Amino acid sequence: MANEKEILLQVTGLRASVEGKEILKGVDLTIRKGEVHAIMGPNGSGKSTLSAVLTGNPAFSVDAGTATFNGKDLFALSPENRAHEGLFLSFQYPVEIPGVSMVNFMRAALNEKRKYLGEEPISASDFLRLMREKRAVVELDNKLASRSVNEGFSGGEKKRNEIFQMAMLEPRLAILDETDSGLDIDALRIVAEGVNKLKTDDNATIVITHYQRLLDYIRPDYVHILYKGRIVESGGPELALHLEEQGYDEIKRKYDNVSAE
Amino acid sequence: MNPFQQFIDLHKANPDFFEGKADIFEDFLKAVRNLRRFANDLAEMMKPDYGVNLNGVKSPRQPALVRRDIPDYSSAIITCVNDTYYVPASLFDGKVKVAVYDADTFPFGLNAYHSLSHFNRVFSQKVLHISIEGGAKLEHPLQINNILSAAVDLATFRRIFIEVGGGAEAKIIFNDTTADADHRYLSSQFVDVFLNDDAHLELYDITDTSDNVARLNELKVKLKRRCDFNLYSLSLSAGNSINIYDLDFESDNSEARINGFVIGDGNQRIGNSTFVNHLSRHCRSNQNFKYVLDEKSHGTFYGEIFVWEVARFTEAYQSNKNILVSRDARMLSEPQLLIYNDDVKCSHGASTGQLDESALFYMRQRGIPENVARTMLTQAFVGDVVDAVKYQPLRDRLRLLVENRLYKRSSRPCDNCRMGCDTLNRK
Repeated sequence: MANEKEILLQVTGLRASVEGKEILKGVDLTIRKGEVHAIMGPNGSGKSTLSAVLTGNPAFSVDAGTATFNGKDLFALSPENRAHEGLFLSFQYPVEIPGVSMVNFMRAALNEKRKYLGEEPISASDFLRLMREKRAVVELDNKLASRSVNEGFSGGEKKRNEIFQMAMLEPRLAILDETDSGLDIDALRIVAEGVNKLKTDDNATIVITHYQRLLDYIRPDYVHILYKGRIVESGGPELALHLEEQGYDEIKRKYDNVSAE
Repeated sequence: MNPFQQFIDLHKANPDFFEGKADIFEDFLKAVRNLRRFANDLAEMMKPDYGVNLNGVKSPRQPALVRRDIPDYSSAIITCVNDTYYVPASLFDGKVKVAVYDADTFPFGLNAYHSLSHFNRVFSQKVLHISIEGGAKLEHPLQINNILSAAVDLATFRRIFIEVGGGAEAKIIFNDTTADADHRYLSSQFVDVFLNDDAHLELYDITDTSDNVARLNELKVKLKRRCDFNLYSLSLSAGNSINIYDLDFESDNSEARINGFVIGDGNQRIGNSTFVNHLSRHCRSNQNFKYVLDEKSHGTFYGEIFVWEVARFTEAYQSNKNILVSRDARMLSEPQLLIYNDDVKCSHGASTGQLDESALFYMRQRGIPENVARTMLTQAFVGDVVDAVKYQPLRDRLRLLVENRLYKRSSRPCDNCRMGCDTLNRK
């Protein structure tokens, strides 16, 4: 049934490097509407590089491979246009931007997207109503929304703020890069519930994580294991459970020889 | 020949002019060495064949109803076209007295301090004297609009003497603009400010001139007891300019804050120099200067805090932060702190860098185009200087002006224009 769904993102043979060092060594990934994919893997396997490359972080370079997103050549689009097409990254380390208020930031982001889609800018009253509505999704304090972007936010507040922005921008594909790191159990639940509330049959989510724990809340349809720049195994949710029991040692033993070729 | 040139020729050279001024000129030449620290090319500034109004004749130009981006905040406006003052008959119901004196017969001692004031004294003909009555509480600002408007290249020299009476509270806005941007100007200004006991003054020095203006500005402030002084140096656009701000804490328990920003682009050369002299006890000073330099602009900040031996219990702080938006922009920063006693709290710091790339990518990932994201970040960078502006109508206006300036909007807001045409062609 799932296979009949429209393909949202198709990545083939992706190789990418940072500062001349190759990190991704041929990644293939197909994501369809309505799916949740988890990408797991030990430190340094290339998980964050994958999210950075897909969203167009200029510090990384694509050396080979293609990515089609929403029918468009993803790598031909600027980071901002990728966002307008509906690609969203929940940052592992959300950036503090002193002096830029959350309100101005969100309004600029939303209106640029509307401009891209040929829509009129949102009215001030509609915008404020939308802010109020979406804040509720992650129980984000009104006080935080009136401050500078992420400035002085706690770790948990920053992650909540990421999901709040996701709610505002309603992306087609959201990449959650270690959204669980630095969260206590309550915050983890709120963030995960927020993500689940935003899920529809038309959008999709990539969850990048070290731990099975987050996947108890955000249930993946597929789990991929990224190791040394390649997806070495793919499977259903049971793969994550297996990994939790065995650790990454088994994977390392199994694939160290392969990647040493 | 153009009529303005004819006008100049008609009033040409007064042979007695330089008589008795040789030593002032000598002072200037000696002091000019101090200007070498600036990125400004002084020789370049002096190069054009400027006309100089040696005979002090009134400008043939009307106090033009020129387009200015700083609106009039009050009915108390002194307009100065080049070096001719237009002073209203009464200001603030007589609480502010304004007179224009001949420089030679000016009753107060001419205290020259730095090179720029020496230079000004060689040529300035008139002194604008502003005296604010003791105890006067002026709700609205006194605005001094300096307009450069000539049909030839012109050098202008303004000398201003401001006295704020004991316990008085006032705001003064200097607003420098160019009306005829086709010509080059040398704009020299020397301002003396005296604050008597318990006086409060907010002084705004706003520069929004065309690129072919060379500005040499010196402001000297003396504070008596328990004064509160706020100085704002706001260079929205300032061609080739040097500002020297010199503060003396002459008595105890006064406080001064200097906030400044510089927005530079093109080939602009903008330098600020501060000298904060703590000569008395229990005084506090705080300086915050921010520069945003784009394209091939160069900025200079030379800041000096001097805490004398007698000035115990001083608090003095200085911060200079700069962002170079382009690879070709340059910044020279020299923060200095000289302390000659032990009972002080002082700090100074300077940093020069680029926009935060991670913030830039974060914004782009949310769909904000790179140029807009850059502008939002630079706007945020100078935001604390704008936020420090106490007079709210001006603060709101500055937010808009900074935004327009950073977006390099070609058509700037015309709502203050009463001419209905674009006389202020900036580039």
